[in-house]
Amino acid sequence: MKQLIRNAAVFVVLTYVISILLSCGYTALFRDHKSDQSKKNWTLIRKGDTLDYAAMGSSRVFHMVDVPLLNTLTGKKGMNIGTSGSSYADNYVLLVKYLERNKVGTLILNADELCFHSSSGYTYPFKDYEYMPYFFEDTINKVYKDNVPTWKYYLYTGIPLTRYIDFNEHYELGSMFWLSAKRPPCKFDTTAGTELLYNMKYKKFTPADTLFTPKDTLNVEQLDELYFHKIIKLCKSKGMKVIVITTPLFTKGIYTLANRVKFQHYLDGLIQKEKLTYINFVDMTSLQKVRYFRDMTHTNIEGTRIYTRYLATQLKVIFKEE
Amino acid sequence: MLFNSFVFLVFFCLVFVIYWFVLSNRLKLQNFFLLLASCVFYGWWDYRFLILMGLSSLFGFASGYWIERRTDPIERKLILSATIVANLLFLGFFKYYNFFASSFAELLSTAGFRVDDFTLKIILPIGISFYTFHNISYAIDVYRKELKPTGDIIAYFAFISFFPQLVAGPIMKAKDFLPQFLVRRNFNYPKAVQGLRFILWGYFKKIVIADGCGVLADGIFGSYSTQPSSVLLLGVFYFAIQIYCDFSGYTDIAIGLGKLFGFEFTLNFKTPYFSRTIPEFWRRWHISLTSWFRDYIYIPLGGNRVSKVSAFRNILIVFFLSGLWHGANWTYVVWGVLYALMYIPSIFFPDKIKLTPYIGYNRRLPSIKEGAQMIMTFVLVCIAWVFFRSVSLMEAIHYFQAIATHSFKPIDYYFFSPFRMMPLVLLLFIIEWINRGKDCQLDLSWSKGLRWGFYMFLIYLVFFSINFHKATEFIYFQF
Repeated sequence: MKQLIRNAAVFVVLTYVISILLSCGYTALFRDHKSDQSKKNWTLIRKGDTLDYAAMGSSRVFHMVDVPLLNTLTGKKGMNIGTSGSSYADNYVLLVKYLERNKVGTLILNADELCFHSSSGYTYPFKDYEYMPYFFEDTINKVYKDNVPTWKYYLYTGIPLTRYIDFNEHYELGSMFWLSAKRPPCKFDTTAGTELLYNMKYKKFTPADTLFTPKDTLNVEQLDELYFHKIIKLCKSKGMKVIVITTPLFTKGIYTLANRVKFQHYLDGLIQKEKLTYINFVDMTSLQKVRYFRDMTHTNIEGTRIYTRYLATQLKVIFKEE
Repeated sequence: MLFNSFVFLVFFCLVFVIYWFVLSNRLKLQNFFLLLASCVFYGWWDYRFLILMGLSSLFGFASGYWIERRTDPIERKLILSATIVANLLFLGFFKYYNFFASSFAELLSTAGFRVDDFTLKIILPIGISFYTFHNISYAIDVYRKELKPTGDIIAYFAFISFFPQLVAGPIMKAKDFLPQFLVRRNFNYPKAVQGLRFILWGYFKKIVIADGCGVLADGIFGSYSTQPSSVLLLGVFYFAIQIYCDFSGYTDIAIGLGKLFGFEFTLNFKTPYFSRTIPEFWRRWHISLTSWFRDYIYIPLGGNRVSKVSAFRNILIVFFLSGLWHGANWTYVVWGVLYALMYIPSIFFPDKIKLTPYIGYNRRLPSIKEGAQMIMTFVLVCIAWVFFRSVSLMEAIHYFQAIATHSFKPIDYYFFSPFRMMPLVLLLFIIEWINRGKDCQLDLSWSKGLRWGFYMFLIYLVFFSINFHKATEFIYFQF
């Protein structure tokens, strides 16, 4: 038994040393060599953008803020850096990385109840697997500490290669080479990062498809609030202006009136505290029609275009004031 | 609990430490602890089925006792027959009731009778085919006086439920395996190292090769009607590799775990795809099941010491049952019968086929004749695999039709990069070829540095292929 333990110990130490080297190799390789077919990677690898504004948030920004149309209507240069199912912690990391290589004048940030209750609003609110190459950067590391289970955080810290092993389907060497062999041009280059939604082919949206049971209580998660403030703080430190918006929702199916009032009161408090500009579109009456929605929380292409026009009108005023 | 899950890793480490460091030299406690660990391992999937396994084991234990107590040969035979029938009924109910009920209903409806659906919602308990066969084996061995029945019920239960081989074998004969629970087990360093090699090679085969090929094979079989024949052929090839690596990977891990606990299992695979004939393939594929059928069915039926027609009948019975054992579907039956037909040359012309112990014996490479035989055998095996893989007989036939009629256009590798597994499959075959005469494919006669380097390489391949968020099941769990 002693011999087994001794040999196993030597083997484990050697394996560990090699794992450190491999981890460094992976970090170097995946930091800059990403497939630009996913929205997040496309945003992460961009450099040299100088923008008047960037729209950030979850899928309600990614699919509902038509940036090419907004650029035409406002005469400004903007980019959509919203990503599906992402919490503020996720948005924060993406913004930190994006601002390292790009300049932005104004951040348009989405805020609604789902953003402040991300654990139930999204299936995987902080996409830890997306940012593994940056794990050991101070700012990012703190986000990981807040957002991944403690045992995982220490495992990733102690045996760095485990963070790539844990999500090896995202860090597959082979697939990277296959993908790099022949890749279609990235669609986000022509849409400034926006992806418009068409109605579902198999089924049209009906209000009966309630995704969320109407509740009468207000659920705000501390972590979401913390990262909302961090995003604002980051923007202010970079001299950026922040405009908070609430994108339209098919509100009948989501909130009871009491809940909406409570949340609106809470959000107004945050906006006042941070002294931000706020535009609320959540229950735009002209949009509260089934034909403009794809589902409870997303407008379809028709609804998005109408909403973007309203947004442009408001933004033009704000930009003019500047 | 799956071998390729994080939970199992923690479970195994705990069991190993307690087994050797806390309970060392205390046989009864070690057996009891193994039984407990096996219950946790099995109950992790569904604890309710532990009762079923417990009852089956209790009946097996009692049957050995009853057979031993009787001296009258007729009474002994009656008890043995009752034991076998009871076990088969038990297995048959859970595994075959719906199959026979629906087949019977179909038969009646084709004859013009209208019948209501009388299938039941039965869940197939994992490993039922394996532990039922262990119980039958015990009764037969005691009946043949090849094994003295044990009075140690804990040892017997531990033998039936021993977790490394509980859900997918190897199927151990009671006379070979039960005695190992009755003698003191000492830790043996070379045996433990050998065990670790088995485990590493098993994980490589399952996680890297089988799961990788499985994704490709599933994709191709799932869309066979639109694929060119070149891709369809590749699909069969990948499935052949997948099923081999999935099953042999499991048994390699089981053998390795057994060695770490001081047990010896029967080898279950000996590089079967390097076989030169179908009989040789079956001497190298699922050896424990083949030898179980040989000892308990084929030889009692007369084996090959009868007329050639009777010998073929015996082979046909064995393969029919083997097919049925694999699953309640006509595809498995056809798969088994196909092998019986492929046996015909070796039954009727046994003198024409003389083989060395293994291919390329005492040489580095096979002769041209051996190479041709090996390829031919592999092609025949692949044809049978199409039936094994297909959901229904019609699907298998349509798959063959598609191979024959679809165009043979070059594979569009940008679509799903079907060649990406080829370097790893090649690595598998190279290592297996180098060690084709040995029990463990990782018994490499290289320098220590080179060996360790290769082991590390395999470990990293496993790490970068494993899915910790959703471990894939082993194919043979369903049997």
